[in-house]
Amino acid sequence: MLGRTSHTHESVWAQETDDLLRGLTGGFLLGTPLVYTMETWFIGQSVSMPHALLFLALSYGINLGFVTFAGFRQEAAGSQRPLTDALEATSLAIVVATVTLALLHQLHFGLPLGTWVGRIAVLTMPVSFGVAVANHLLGGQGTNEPGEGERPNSQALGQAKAVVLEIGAAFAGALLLSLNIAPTEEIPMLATEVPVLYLPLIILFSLGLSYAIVFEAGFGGQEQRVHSAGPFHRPLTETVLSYITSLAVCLFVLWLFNQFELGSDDDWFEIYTQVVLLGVPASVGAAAGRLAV
Amino acid sequence: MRRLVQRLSVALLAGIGSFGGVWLALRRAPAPRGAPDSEPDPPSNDEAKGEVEKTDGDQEDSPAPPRNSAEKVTLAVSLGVIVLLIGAALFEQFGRTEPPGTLIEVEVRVADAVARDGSFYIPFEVSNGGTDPAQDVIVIFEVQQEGEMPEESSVTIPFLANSGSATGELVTIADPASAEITSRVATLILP
Repeated sequence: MLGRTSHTHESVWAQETDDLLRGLTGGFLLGTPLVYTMETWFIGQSVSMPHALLFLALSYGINLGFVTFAGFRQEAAGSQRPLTDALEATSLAIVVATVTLALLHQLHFGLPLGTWVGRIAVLTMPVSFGVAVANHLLGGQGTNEPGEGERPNSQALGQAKAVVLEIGAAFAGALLLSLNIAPTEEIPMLATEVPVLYLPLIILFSLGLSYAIVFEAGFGGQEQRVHSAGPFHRPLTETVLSYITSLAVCLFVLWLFNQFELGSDDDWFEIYTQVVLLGVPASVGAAAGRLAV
Repeated sequence: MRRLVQRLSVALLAGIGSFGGVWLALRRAPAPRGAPDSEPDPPSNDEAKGEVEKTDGDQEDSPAPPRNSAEKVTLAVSLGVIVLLIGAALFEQFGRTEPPGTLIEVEVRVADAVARDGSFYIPFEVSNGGTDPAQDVIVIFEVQQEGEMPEESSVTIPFLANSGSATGELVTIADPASAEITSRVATLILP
């Protein structure tokens, strides 16, 4: 792999894990809004198998174009093995599409095989964009070292201001993605469909994804975050606080778009379910927002 | 559908924009990694030998370095995922033995009927055993009890995939134990 600076057995695996995590999280970042679009589920379940294979071929083509010029792995300016790197990127997009559809109960064992294939194939294409450009989303590691004239880091800002900045960034990121989804019919619809036992999994998934994007995937600023001081800069604390911020944003935007009314007879558990479901894209947005500041 | 097109467009534009940005950035970049003005790579150990040793400007010309163990595993798993999905699509296309077209069947499970508040709730299942999916399937039920006017009701199933099924409950006043229940598919749309 290009540009590896450490070559121990562990570092090879760690680097590969980082590359794959970055691809996965990039897929979640760009693909999430379409995963929450019911038309893609309907098209996926009625699409013919040759059509589904066409979606997969297009996904591979998109990935091939990106990795040839931009590279799939970190710090590789252009892939030296574009054919197989594109295959790996497509495979990651398939994994992202499958995991998110399964979490939203849009893939389960009661569905016919054709529906599984169709839904995964249709969603693989938009998710592929995210996987393919993951290396270049939000800057790679080391690309945002503060230099002269750049924004000072959080230590220089002071802890209180840094916390406000971080929460503000998480709030803005969560708002950006949740505004895209909250007014649609998908969230109330999913809230009635998703089994109750899925909810703890969805919460853990949101937290894990948020943690992976900021602290594991190797996007810009990861090292600074891990090593900087401050109450908000402990990875676990930051992840949980950011998730709580995301949930608050979800509650607000769902109320804003009349998905429920305060003081009405709406079942609190349904509201809770809606908030948790919208919390997945919101936490992704919050993570991206924190990386951007 | 409109929203889908909008979101696909956003994803497409984001992708194209990112791709364009990356391409422009690469064009402006003075040199790839390993160029004369960059830090030389540290020497590699035996395990990763041959993996990295890049020299000035060799990115374009040199053959790809051999894969390390982690990359081999990734490639193998990726191939497995792709082969599995393509294999499932091919099986779905060529390996199925169902009759062509749609084949809708309705099963009313009278034995599982439950009486609640003066009505009887009778479970039913509508399944599509054909190779093609069906949309807006309308099923009509008729409950005939001797000496009474028949009860007629219908249900519309928005979508039935091939090999798919939908379940529901037929609600009647007549006791299903003593009534005759018939069902038939009235119409459907081929998507």
